[in-house]
Amino acid sequence: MTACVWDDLPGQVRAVGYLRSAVESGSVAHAYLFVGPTGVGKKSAARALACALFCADPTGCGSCPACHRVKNGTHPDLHLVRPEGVAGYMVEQVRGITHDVHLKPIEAPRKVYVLEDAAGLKAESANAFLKTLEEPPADVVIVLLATDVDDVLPTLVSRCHVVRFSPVPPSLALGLVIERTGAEESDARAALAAADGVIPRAIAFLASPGRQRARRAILDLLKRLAVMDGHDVLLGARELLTEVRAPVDETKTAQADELADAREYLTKGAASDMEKRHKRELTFREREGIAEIMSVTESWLRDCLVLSRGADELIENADAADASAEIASVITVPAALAALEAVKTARSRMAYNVSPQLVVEAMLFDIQEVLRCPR
Amino acid sequence: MKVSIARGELLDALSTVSKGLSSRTTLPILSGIHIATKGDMVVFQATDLEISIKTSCKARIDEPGQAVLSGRLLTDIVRSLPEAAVTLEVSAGGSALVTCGQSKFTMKTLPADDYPKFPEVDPSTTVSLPTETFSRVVHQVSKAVSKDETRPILTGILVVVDSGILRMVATDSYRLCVREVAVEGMSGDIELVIPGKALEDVAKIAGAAESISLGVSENQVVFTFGDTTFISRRIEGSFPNYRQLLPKEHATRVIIDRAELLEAVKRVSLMAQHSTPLRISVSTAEHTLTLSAAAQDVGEATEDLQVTPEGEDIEIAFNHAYLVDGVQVAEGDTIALEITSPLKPGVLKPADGDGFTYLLMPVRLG
Repeated sequence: MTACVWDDLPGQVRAVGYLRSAVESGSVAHAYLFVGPTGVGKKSAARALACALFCADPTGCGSCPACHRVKNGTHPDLHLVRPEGVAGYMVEQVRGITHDVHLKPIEAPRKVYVLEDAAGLKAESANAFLKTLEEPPADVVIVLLATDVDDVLPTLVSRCHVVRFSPVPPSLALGLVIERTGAEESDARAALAAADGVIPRAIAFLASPGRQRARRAILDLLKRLAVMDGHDVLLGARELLTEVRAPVDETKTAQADELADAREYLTKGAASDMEKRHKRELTFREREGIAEIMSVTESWLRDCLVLSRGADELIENADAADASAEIASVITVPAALAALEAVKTARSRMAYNVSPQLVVEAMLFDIQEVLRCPR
Repeated sequence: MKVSIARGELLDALSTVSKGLSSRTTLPILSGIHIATKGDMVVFQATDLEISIKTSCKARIDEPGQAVLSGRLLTDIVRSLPEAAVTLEVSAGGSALVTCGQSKFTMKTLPADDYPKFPEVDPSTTVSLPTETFSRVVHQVSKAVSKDETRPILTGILVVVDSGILRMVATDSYRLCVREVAVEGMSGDIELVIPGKALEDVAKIAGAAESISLGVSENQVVFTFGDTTFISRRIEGSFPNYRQLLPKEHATRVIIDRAELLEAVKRVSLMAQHSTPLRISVSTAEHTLTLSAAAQDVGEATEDLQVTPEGEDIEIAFNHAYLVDGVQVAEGDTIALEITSPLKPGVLKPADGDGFTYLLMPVRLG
């Protein structure tokens, strides 16, 4: 049991201090934009803010029924919203929020709305939200979460107080992952590399055998890449994607069950809404899976680079060290950078909705070229 | 749980709480009706997290317990059953058996513990009034409630009880409807904005009860009638100051038979489809009010009504659908149409008395 809800946020002294003093002095703004890399505790901070606002004690006691319900995610006046579309928020979703904002709270003295991934508020959905964000009723606090201020439309930013969250230092992140999962240090390091340093995602990665298989598949492919011919590369890419999709298939099965259940109880309209939401979620998962193998590729190439410079203790993928050491003995810095550039290009292609298979194939050929002639 | 209830009473209870089922929800539990035994009564509950309804009816209880059953399906089943005792038996394994005469239905149940708790509301003020008056007033003003979510406050009805007078006001910014009635023996003062849909639902399901009590708390409003409790969340914000919109004077006043006007407006509206305005011209010399509409490329319609005008000759145009709504819900057999100028709102009132006001924005004449 924590004595104070703000204590749960390691490494965010400044942001927490700012929010805490706002609550204690009763000068909470109507809208905040929390900015910081993924996984640094923006959502936890938003939750702590809700605790402090709902709890009778302005520091947030962390142990009363209201605080418990906020922590369990069952408080009716704390609304956590995620984008439901592939590329962001849907206009209907925003309208739903607006409707609720203008109703009185259910049990707390105020209402808190947390919108994850505010970059997903694009032209239409953002416009639908502007008026609400600018002047919500007096008892409403809206918190937008985003990784970068520049990703969020300026019309939204100008209506919020921006609170910056600093990145969690890698050593602290590593410590947290080990503490929460009990994994070996090398595994935790590899998981963090695959998850772009995002703590919750690294923890989920360690719990998913499917995602770990996908990681091994790409590492295996990279190891043999230099000696493969074009046909092998294409086959390898196809197998890799099968591995990436395997965890997605697990989700698909779970969704099918949920939908079958839903059809028995829900109206046709609601069930088809759910089906659409599921489809969007699947697309999102698949993209996430692809992004993960790209992160693994990047971190492996980085390993090659640090090994070639003799900084052996910095490698992230200890289990693939034999292959990276082989490459490291011949690779030059410009060549490694060129290979990393290929991964970056692949990422931007994904953002343009190119078919995942094509993107991965192109990326592998680009890297192969570098590995074959690493000078 | 095992209970037996007369089919009629069960159906009444189910149809009452069904108003609280949300049709668009993606949470299966909210598509269910919560059924629990309490003493020798069975309590039914439904909620869509915005409104919550609870009602109860007498039953023979063989085994107490609670369950959540699909609301739509159960209501359909009970509706189709013959008039006899219906037995509802829920086993621990998650299935329910509904029997009535020779018919048997089994259906799946939802986990009862997941069902949201019925809100506890402690009203600070309570007002009691006859259901008939309440329902009539709601019916009259609800036409003017806005459906546009961009101004949420207008999707509600302003309800005021002040020294024995009940007043409801609704507007969608194209028209405004104010209805005032004196209610005998009503005490207490309240002023709040209630979602229009919730009021309409209450008016619909409260039909049989004689009186209805309206309790107001900080965030919610509670209606109690018969065995039923209906809770809705309140809308935030302040209602527009409608008084300053009501014109103080008028240039022309026309007394018209309400039924005649309604028929005539409906007929002429056939030519006033979509955005074509319905034109009204008043001739004081000839004692006529002419309704006309012309749809381009389709045709024209005109109708003269014999009326009693006062003041100047005038011409004005309205949206036909809004005019029909106003005439339909107006009080009295004869109504007065008051016009100030073609660019200012027209007002419909009862010919004598002023408990009802329907203000209507004009459409610019081409």
